[in-house]
Amino acid sequence: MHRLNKLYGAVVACMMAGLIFCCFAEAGTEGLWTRKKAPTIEELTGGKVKIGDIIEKENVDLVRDYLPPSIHECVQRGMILRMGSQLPLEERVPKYFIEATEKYQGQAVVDEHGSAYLKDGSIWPGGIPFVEPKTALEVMANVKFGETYDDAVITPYSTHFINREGKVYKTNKRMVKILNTTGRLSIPPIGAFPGMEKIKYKRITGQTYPLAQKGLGLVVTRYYDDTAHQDEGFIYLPAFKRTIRVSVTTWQDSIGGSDMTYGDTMGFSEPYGFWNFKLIGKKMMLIPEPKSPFTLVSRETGKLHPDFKFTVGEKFPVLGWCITPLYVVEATPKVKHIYKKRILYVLATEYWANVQMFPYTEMYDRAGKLWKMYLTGYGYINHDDGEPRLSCNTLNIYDFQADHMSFLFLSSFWQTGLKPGNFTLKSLLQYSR
Amino acid sequence: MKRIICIIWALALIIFPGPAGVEPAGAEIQITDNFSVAGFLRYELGVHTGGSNPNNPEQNGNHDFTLSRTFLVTEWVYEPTDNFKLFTKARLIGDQTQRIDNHLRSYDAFPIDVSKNDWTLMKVDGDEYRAEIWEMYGDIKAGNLWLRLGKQQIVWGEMIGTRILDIINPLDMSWHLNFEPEEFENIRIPNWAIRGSYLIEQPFLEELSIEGFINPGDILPQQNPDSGAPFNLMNLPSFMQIHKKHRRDDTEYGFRLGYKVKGVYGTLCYLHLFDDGFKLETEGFAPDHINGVPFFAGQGNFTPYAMLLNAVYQPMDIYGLTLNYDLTYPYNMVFTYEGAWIPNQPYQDRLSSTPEVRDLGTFKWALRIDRPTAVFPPRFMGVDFQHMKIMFQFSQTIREGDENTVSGSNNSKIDKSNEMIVLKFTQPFDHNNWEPMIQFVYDLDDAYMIKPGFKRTCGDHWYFDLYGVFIGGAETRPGRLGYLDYASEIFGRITYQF
Repeated sequence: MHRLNKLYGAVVACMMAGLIFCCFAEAGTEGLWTRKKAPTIEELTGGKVKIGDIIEKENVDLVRDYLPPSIHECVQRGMILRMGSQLPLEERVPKYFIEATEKYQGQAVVDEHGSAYLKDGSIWPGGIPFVEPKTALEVMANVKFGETYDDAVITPYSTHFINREGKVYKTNKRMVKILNTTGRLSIPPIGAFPGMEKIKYKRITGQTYPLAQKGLGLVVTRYYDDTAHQDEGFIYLPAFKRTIRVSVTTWQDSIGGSDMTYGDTMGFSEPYGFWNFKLIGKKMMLIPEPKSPFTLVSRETGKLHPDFKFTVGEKFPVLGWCITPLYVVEATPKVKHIYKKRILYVLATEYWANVQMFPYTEMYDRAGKLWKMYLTGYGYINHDDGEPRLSCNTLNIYDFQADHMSFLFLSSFWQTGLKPGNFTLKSLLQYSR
Repeated sequence: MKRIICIIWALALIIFPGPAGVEPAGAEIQITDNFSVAGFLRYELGVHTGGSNPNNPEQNGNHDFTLSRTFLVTEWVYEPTDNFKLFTKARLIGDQTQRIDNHLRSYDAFPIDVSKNDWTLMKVDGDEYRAEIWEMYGDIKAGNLWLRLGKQQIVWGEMIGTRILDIINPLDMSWHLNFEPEEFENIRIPNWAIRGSYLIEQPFLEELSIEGFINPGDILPQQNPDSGAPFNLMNLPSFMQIHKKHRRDDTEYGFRLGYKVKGVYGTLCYLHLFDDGFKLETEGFAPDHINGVPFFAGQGNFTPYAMLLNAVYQPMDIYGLTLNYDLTYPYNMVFTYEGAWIPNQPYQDRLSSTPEVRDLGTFKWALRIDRPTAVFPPRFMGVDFQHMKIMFQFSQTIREGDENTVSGSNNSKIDKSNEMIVLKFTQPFDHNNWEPMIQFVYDLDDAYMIKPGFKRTCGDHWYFDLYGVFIGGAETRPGRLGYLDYASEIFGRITYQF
């Protein structure tokens, strides 16, 4: 009896221990990705580079291992990097987004077009589909389906055209509204707008400057499977005073003469079905820091902060840079394309952002020579709905071969409660003249 | 004239003020958070390359210039909320064509007119200048309802440069026909109207909307050039005395339904309008010893008479349809169709011995194909090239019944059908700082117009355009393209926008 009691006690103890272990283990798995912490540049360089240091052409070799070829080349051409610091995930993305990611973890599948679904075939409800992606397509599905916001108003959204001397010679301005119709986590309806389950988002753009383009409006529908069902668009032409159908699948054409193509938007926005992806690996790299000492662009006026500095005239912005783990993906087109390949650098999930999951991307011409770079300047944490959102203030698209820069700076307002009715052909008239 | 100068100075003081009060944001001037003004200052010069205008027989030789105009256009926007906006476009225009070309005899360069007590046009003008409120409207948005009230341009239909359903507002053809590169924006005469649309949200059709407008009486006809103007289209014999029976105070209206079904977007519409071009109707004869002719000499009466005519603008019913479809990547082609059936299109009666009007059912349709195409590599000879915009359009007008019973302009013969092809290429390059284009218009009865040109943008404020308009061909009946061969020209514009 005594032995039985001992055995019973041992079994109970084992069960308790197992239960406790399982609980801790489970908690550890859940929280692991949120608690991962990247080393600092100081730790990686053995103290040779410290936060606050300036990296320029003369000392760039100290951090060369943590820079992509494009940024290294920019530094050679006059860009300087100020060493900054990183923020933990809970200060970068909303809490509900972290909870949704954990809730649906392990339930995502991705098809050959890079579209994420739940295992039962229903649309992805929101959150990051693959916290520990194993393939390039899973990394890319995270980018497409891991947005943390339901809607956004970006205004003003300015573009400076900058010549090789670093002089701004032309400007245009616009306003952009985006509505995610699926994957909604915060503003009702949660999930998807009824009847719009096949749509990923709707976007409306209204040109505001210069006068010759003022009133030009474009409304675009991006479908959930954007390869099978491609983008649709209508444009309001102020000179013609009418809305006409327009082809919005010319992803290889430049936007308004800038260095950015339609496919370069957000770092890479062409349908995945037309590309092959190869995961190069996960690597510690320097990226623009999430929070600058000051907000780079004023939300009230849309103007650049007076302390925001540039080098080589106004060509290269002076940003803070911090070490962050990134997935490196090589994308090669399946179709005839102006680019031979793109190298895409994707935030690791533990350093996710509200938007712009590519801190930078590189585009190579058909001869395989570095042609362009897309650089995201994050710059500030937005709290429009009380939740933190790592937002983007600036974008640089730099043509290395022409030594020409398109510098975009913007002010964003998140979770404004937009409805599908704000994205109709009739709503284009609101921006018209 | 003093009044005009005062207005120009007042505007200049507001637009280019001292350091206080107004903050230029880029080039648009933000007066307050909700109130802004933008605009442009432009000089436009047209050099004549065609023959003498046959409609100006009294002209002293062939003219050298078709146009010399200066514009100050301002657009004032007050937008306190997303749901309410006030917009006003004010224009000050001076025309110097007669002053720089002594071949031209005197004419009114701004012939649009209404009686002095008609306040709605809101203009001050003379033969060589004009100050006016061109557009002035308010936009109100309430849920799915959108309203625009005021003096406005209403454009239905989707064809560019071809007026099938874009016929709600008349055109001011008096100064440059329809050669302006902005299509009709600068010449479509805004009318006072109430316009509204409502988005009907339901689960069956996307983009289902109903739209309508009422013009309660601000009706103007198409404005042709004054007699003696470089582009004058008509030369009436002096014995014809025309009394224009305008349609001001009558009502125009229309309804339109928009919808989208499986990738096809379409509209259906009905319009009740008055013909923009007048037709002549005989009222009678009156003795006129100066301009008259002895109509009844055969009956032994040699008294010279003038023919009294009414220029009438007949009512029309228009039933319209548009459809468009986007054939996506890799084709990137957009197909657009537009058609209109007008059962009572007015024509001049050919069978009558004196001018009368006869209706004939008329069907107009057009098909356009747009395709942005990478003709040049994105980097070519050290310069970046954008996609070339290629546009092809075929349009046709078909008349029911016997076309021999009616006639066109200047009593010309009308065909059973007319066909026109338009091909246009626009190739922006160098970050859109250069935008060359060429447009070919071909009338299948053998007439053509070739319109090459380019736009050069220099920074935020300045741009320059230069275009040629070359017209020719064997089909030279009045009202047809080849008739305008005398209008061939090269014109350029210098614009400062702010």
